[in-house]
Amino acid sequence: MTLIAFLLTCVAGMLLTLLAQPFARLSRLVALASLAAALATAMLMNPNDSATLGEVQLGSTWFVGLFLTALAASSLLLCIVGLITGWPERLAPAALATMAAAGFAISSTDPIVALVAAAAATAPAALVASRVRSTPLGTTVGVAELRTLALVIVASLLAAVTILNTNWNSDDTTFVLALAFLVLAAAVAVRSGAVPFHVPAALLSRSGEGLGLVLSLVWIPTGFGLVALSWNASIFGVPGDWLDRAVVAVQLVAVATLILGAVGAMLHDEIEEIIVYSIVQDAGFILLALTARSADAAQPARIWLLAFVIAKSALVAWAATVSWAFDSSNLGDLRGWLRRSPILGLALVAIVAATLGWPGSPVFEARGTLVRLGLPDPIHFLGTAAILLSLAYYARLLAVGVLPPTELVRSAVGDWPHWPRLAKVADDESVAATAIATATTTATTTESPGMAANSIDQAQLGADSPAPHDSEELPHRGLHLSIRHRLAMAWRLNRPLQASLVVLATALIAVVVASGGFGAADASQSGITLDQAAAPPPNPSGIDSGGQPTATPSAEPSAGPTLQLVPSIPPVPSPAPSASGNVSAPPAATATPTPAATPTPAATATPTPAATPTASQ
Amino acid sequence: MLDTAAFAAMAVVLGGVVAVTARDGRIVVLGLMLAAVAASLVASPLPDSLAVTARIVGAMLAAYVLWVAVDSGSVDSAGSAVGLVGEIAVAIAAFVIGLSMRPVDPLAGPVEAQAAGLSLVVMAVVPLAGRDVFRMGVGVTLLTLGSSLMVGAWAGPLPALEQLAMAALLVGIAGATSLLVPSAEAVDALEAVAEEAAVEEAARQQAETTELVTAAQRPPADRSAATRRSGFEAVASTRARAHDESGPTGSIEPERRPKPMTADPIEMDDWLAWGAPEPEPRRASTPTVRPAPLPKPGETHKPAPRKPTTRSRPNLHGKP
Repeated sequence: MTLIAFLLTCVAGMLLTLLAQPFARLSRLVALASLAAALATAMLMNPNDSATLGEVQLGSTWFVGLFLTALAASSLLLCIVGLITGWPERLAPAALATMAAAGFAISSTDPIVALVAAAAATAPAALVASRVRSTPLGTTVGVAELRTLALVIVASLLAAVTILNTNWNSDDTTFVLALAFLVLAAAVAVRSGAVPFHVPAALLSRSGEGLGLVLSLVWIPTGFGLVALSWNASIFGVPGDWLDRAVVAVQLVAVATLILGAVGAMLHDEIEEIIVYSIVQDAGFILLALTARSADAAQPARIWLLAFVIAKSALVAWAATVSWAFDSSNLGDLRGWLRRSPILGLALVAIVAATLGWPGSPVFEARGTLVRLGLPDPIHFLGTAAILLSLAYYARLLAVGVLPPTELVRSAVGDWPHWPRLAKVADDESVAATAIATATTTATTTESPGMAANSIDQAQLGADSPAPHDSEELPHRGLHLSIRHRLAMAWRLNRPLQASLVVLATALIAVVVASGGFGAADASQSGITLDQAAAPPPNPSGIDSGGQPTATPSAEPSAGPTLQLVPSIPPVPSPAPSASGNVSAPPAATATPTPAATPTPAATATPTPAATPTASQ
Repeated sequence: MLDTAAFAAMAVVLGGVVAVTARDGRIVVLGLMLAAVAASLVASPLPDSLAVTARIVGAMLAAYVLWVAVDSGSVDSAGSAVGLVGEIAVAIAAFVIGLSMRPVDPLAGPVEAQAAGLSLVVMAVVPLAGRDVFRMGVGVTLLTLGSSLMVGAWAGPLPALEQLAMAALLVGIAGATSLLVPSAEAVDALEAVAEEAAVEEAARQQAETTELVTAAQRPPADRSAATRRSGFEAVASTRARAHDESGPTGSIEPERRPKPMTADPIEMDDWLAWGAPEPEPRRASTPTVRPAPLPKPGETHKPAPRKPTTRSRPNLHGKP
């Protein structure tokens, strides 16, 4: 019931937020309330919850709850940052739609429902990308989004039918498996912007998406990757020449992403572009988890995805805050940012720690494991190279921050706390009113929201007076501010501080998750509901499975679900066996054991004798 | 004797052909709706009424979302590049191939679903290869419908939640298309901005060339060899470019052919004015949305040959 409550909250919140779009304040209120409700329902999700909907069983696990909680918390924190730095109008409904579809995908026991829902979860990216449809980039971004959507849908359906069906009319069924693996990996790579499919992501970074980048590049790819990884070991773990070639192709893309993504982040000077290439680089680990085709890679991949979601959300929030606070996103203009905003500096350090980890931390070990399992031995050094390259561009950001500040940075408020001071004696209130009006006009037309608000505040307080004085030093005859007004003005003056604190909080949450806190280490061992549906059935015949990897016994948390997998599809009346001896396979995961000698370990409704021609292929 | 699945499969293909070939956006949407509604019936046995209802409602909702975008933005499709007859031939050929092939043996669903699915997938290829956002959305929808039909043929009938998920996916695709397709006003504004940028770029190039020509014609004592050389090169390259763009049978009269390097700068300016871009004629009242001819980042603008008649710039802002 808690799972259904989460899904309904997300769907209702999305609809309400979209309906309230014409009313700015109401829309923000509804969006924040919906995200908060989604976060609450995700946190309260029962790990053993299950429900049957439309003949398909939905179930939650500890990891499902934690992953959805991470998504909801990231969305809420980013929208709070957006309240300060500039409200991302369509991020909240898009995030809610993505969470609803991702919730369906990772809680379903039916492969087709899971993959179709995962594909549907990529559609809300259009909500964010449509912001630029009236700009010269609009057509290019729109075409890229729709092509990505098409690829994801085709990959999902092809993978689903491959997973379900064992009756391919082919001598070498591994060709079909290889095709499905390749298309699925291509969908993950294109959606996450892996090299050489990074052009749409780079275009998004130049289109001023700001906080919306996180939806397209982090939340959606992780949800889709999580579903794609479910069958990684059980379906694609079989040996075969075609599969091996497909794996090599994906390994090449992963290596190029790990290295060239970091190089791209080092070569660019715009913060948004640096952030995008950083996200792209770290998305390469999802591809490595795919190429591993081993059950040993499942747990590291899950904890990596959890840390990836929160750390990269914090990184996007950091970039948006820096750009807003200093009214520029160019590193040349941002020299000395760290001196003016030490809290943002702390947040960046925390983000680096959460992303790269430290020796002994779960995230560090997960990265190492994925490199070890996903790449051949001779190129394991690329994992270390990726870490060093990542450190290089993060160090560049920090180094720019400690340089002597530019005039732009010096004139910014920064995230030091401020208290409103009454700086002049207002003999003539009309003078003050004129100053405020002038500041309002110029600031709202020429400056960023943060700078504009700051200018107006300073004008209201007379802070730009040539001879500032403290209120205690001079009596004021015309401008008396009560403590209530002062608090209100202090709240407005310290908006950079508030944004920095929210970013720091997000980064610290990421550090805790990266260290295995909040139950992340244990939850990552439980997996999603689909993992258990797709797990290889026991081998009652005792026949060797032919090199197929078997799931290693893991320390399953007690909160793991105990779902009874029932046939999600009514059995189809089986026609007469074909000449090859195959029988029709109902497209559902069942609890009926299947002899492990069949080439693909998808569950079948009727046991197939191990000596059939199919098994001997 | 044709059963329901066969009739529905033919309706699916018919809807796909209409969606791909029609130029009126509303007819395209109607074709998509026909294909989507009929696709839910290409099954044997038919799904239960709740699942069919969910698919039909989803198809109608998706069509409505697209209809709103088409109706409000005067968005039309570019239509098929191969024509109606060509699309019909391609669709029938793919349908026949789908009836005869057996990638999965035995099929868990009706063979008509496989045939109709293959036909839709083939018809979706050309729209997906283009750069028209609306046609691309049509292509994605057809591809999704075709893929779902083939899944139904290979994996058997889908349970109710899968039908619901498919309906939600169709609505999501339609919503994404309607959000991403640029409105006619936006296209007009983009074209106007592009024209202005092109005019400014041409004027800037002209000014630079004039400056270099002036420098090249100064007395030798006043200029360096490098300046002289660069001035001559600029003049030569500008003339060559303008000559190439006009073409051998272009509209440049013989007396306006390039003169020797000693041309007077004023005459050169007059000649270079031919290289200024000509604003494209305004579109008809029901414009077709297609990508605006924008210069790519980093690409220098290629000025189009301009007619010798004097034209006033278009009224870009709708002011009298």
